[in-house]
Amino acid sequence: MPQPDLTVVRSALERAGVAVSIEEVACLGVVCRVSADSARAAVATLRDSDLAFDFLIDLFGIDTGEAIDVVYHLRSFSRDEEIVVKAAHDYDGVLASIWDLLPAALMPERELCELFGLSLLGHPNPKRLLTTDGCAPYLRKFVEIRSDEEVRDRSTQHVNPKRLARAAGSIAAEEPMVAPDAPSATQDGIVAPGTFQPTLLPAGLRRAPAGVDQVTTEHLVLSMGPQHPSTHGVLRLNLEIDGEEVVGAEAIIGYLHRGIEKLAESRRYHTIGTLLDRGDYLAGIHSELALALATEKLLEVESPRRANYLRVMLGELNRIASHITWYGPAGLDAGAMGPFLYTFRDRELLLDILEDVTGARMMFNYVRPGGVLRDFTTTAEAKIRHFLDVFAVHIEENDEILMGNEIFQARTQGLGVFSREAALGFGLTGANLRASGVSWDIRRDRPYAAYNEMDFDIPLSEVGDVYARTAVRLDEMRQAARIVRQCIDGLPEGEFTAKVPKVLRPPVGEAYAAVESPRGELGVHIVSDGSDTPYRMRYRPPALYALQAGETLLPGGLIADAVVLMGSMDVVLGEIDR
Amino acid sequence: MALDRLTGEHSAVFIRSEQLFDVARRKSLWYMAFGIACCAIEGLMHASGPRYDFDRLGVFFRASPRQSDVMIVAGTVNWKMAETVKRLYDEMPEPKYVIAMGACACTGGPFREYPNVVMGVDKVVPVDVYIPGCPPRPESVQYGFIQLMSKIQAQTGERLASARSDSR
Amino acid sequence: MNTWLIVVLRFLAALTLMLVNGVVMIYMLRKVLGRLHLRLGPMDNGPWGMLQTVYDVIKLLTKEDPTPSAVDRGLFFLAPAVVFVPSLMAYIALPFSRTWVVADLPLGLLFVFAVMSLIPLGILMAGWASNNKWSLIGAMRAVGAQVTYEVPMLIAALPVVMMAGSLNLGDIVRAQHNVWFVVNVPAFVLFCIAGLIESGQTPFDLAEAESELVAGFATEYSAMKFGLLFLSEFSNTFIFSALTVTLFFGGWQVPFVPADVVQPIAPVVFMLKTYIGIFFLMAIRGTLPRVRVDQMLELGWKFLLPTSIAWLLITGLIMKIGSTLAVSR
Repeated sequence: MPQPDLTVVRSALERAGVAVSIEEVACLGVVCRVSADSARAAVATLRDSDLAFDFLIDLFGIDTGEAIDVVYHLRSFSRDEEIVVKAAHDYDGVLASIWDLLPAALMPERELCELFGLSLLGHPNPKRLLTTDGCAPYLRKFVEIRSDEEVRDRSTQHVNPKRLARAAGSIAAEEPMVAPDAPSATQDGIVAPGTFQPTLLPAGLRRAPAGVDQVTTEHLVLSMGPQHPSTHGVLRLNLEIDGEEVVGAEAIIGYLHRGIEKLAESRRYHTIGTLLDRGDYLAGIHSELALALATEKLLEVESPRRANYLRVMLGELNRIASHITWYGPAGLDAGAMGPFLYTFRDRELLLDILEDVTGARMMFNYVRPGGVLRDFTTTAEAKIRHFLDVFAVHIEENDEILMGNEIFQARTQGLGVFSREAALGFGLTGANLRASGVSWDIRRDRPYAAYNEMDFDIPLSEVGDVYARTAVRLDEMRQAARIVRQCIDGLPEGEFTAKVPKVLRPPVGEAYAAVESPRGELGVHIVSDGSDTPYRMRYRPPALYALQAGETLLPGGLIADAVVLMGSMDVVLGEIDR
Repeated sequence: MALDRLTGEHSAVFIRSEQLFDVARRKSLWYMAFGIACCAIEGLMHASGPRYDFDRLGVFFRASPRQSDVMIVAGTVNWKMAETVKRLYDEMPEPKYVIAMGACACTGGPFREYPNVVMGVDKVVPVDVYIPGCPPRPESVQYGFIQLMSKIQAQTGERLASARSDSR
Repeated sequence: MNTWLIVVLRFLAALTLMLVNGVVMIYMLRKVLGRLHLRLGPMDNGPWGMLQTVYDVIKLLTKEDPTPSAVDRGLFFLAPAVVFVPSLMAYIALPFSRTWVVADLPLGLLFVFAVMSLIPLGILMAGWASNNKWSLIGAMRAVGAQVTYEVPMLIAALPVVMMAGSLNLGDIVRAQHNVWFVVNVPAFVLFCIAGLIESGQTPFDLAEAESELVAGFATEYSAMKFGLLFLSEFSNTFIFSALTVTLFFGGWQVPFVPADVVQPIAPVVFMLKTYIGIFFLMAIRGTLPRVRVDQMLELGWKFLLPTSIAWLLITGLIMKIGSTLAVSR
């Protein structure tokens, strides 16, 4: 990974008056440590200086036992460099929002604050994101998960009927996570809650004035979800509508929050995959692969070439399976039932292959640190070749039935356009980013596994609308099929796993590894304390960034557009809520 | 008196019609599309897809709880979701059934240690059929439906048997 | 026989036909969609799943019928009837054969349009009384579609009236003894588009757009009240198809076969033609995506209305020229 020049970073930060200590951490890169007060200024400097770190990869916290390290992971696309900024915050401290610098921070900041018990300052919508009122800050080390006894005897859990009787609608009226004595005036460029002036992302969170015309009209708040036929899981969209037109929108998530990051802290390294599989349940191989790569970085282990080929091959098959599961429902959102059922005949074939190789239809836990779980089977080879032949025909049919349909074109072209700048600002990755004209693919730009030996194209579109995103994903499926064919033709002989101990104890350190999952950059950030379980595991959910970006585009469209638009962002709630 | 024998609780007409209703209930199970997590892909999407096609059994989905007979809880239920699950269950008209699909809905599954997760949806709503697996294959879900059908039949049988013994 | 008895019997016949049609069409829909989508559709209950819809109806009859506490009770109960009755009334004017018609109305075509335009009233009642936002939006969409498409649909049917010289559906059928009026292709196309919207069929099924509005105006309805709404929706589809057959495909007639020969099997011919039409509607339903509400309104006001008026004028002109030429010859 290319790294920025330390002296340039130091001089830029010191010119801005930020006290900083910079170190180079193996497996992670350049880490700048700043104080909690100057974190915002540091991020602003890094963004605006020549370094141009204008893309927020991830924002999360680590409970170090003394303080909460807030980690800003930034990337510069123009210079192709990455940097990590860490700021130690006190427990019960205040996090200064950077959403107006990098709008991608909107949801991650809320999540960080609730899960670590911080207050949020200067955020336009400082409510809880994943949990309900009264929940403990789960990711703090003092919060313990349920003990074995509690888990074995299910009768120990009691359900409070009052809490259940509460209407589901009341969840929206959460207490804001703002410190009671938070300064209300503008301070150091931070806008106090309630008085912010929307700049880039505004419309999504702005409440339109009641009674826009001479006639007194009333806006209706439509709660779409969590049980709704088209929200692709348990996403809830609170749409404020004026007739059919959406004037305000807020995405409410957390209906599937099940603590993958917390539970990973009590799991051994090769069993974390079981949790990650269920995170992004449509593309399990990719999450496992990110974890395996991060662990291998820490362990300094290389996986054998055959394992790399298997990882790539199954990953690409999984990518097709995931895109198919997105493409069918994308048609369903627009009202077309055909594509949904046509794509599922291919998905059945794919799951047969994956089951043959890994032993499971959806939850594989196949990619392990050091290699893969078991060797390739000969029956699978025939199945894959059959599938590739069939799929080459089917994908053209699917392309025609939906993309060629005038009604679908009329509904999706020009809808939900992301400019290049907006896409980068919101932290979009993967096909969503490439549909907006940014040629960035981790498979090509940060090659992992065996991707440097593969020959494939990166589909790109300059338009950035829903139709472009659909087209890019369709092309990605064709490219994925191409890679699979290369893998199966050139599968090398050899070991399928490196020699790694049964219980992995990576040395103390931190590592970040990212893969190109169907939804974008899926990263795993591991903090190891030398024991057999990670001290902290952060899972970068690409769909979370896609969701908060999609949310801002909803106002101005119709209800029907909202459904199609959110569908086009390819959100998977398991991954967003974790 | 004669009328009572014809239409009363223990009459042949009552019992015959009850048997007919029982068959209709068994053979027309509309489930509510209520996918929460991973299980929804297997239990709802693949189940209605070309290979498994639950429509063969008369099982198909309605979007509104008011028109459904079965709720398949397909996924992990946490505290935020539990309220919605309960509310949707309350909205369904009687007779209603619940299928807990997958390890998470049965016991909390691999996430049961996390304090935010409800350890099994039966803490919130009564469950008729549990389908283990993570996620269960669509075949398992189909078997679950067949189990539910036999359960409905058994319930009617019991009710009729008690009615007959009362009339003696 | 007693006149009243005949009226009642005819009415009962129409009712039975409507209910049976509904049941058959739901079964047919599931089968057709299944086959279109590489599935089988209902298979287990009865031979080829034929009893499936019967079971569904019996189950719906025995379900609990809860009334949500927030609804407007009077309207909530009335709405399914207001939706159901007009679509039943429309059956009255349909000519199944030369003699098989419940009431041979001189203004039959107008009557069908008039009663069918009552249905959105019921839908609006259902949507408003449900006190549910999805229902309300669905109902508003239905009314919007109705206002937009009632006029073009009628105007698109007028060329046929001009060609037949009568509003009586029986006369229109008789006028197509040798040539079906489908030769007037633009009128047929315009009528079909308007009718698709009128009967709430994909790609214009906006009133209950499942992926957007859960179940649209029927969201809060359960048990047999929902069953009535569901049945009348299919009945509307049937009426639209039957009307198309009557206006453009010669009704119960078979071309170049004398009416007396067709007479014994006329109802069968009529039903067959209607069900072929329904099959096409179902195929459309299984294939096309849905248009957006503004696109639908735009199509109605900016394209369908002017085009149908223009085509009416052109048809009149052609007929006038034709008759002048015939006279001068």
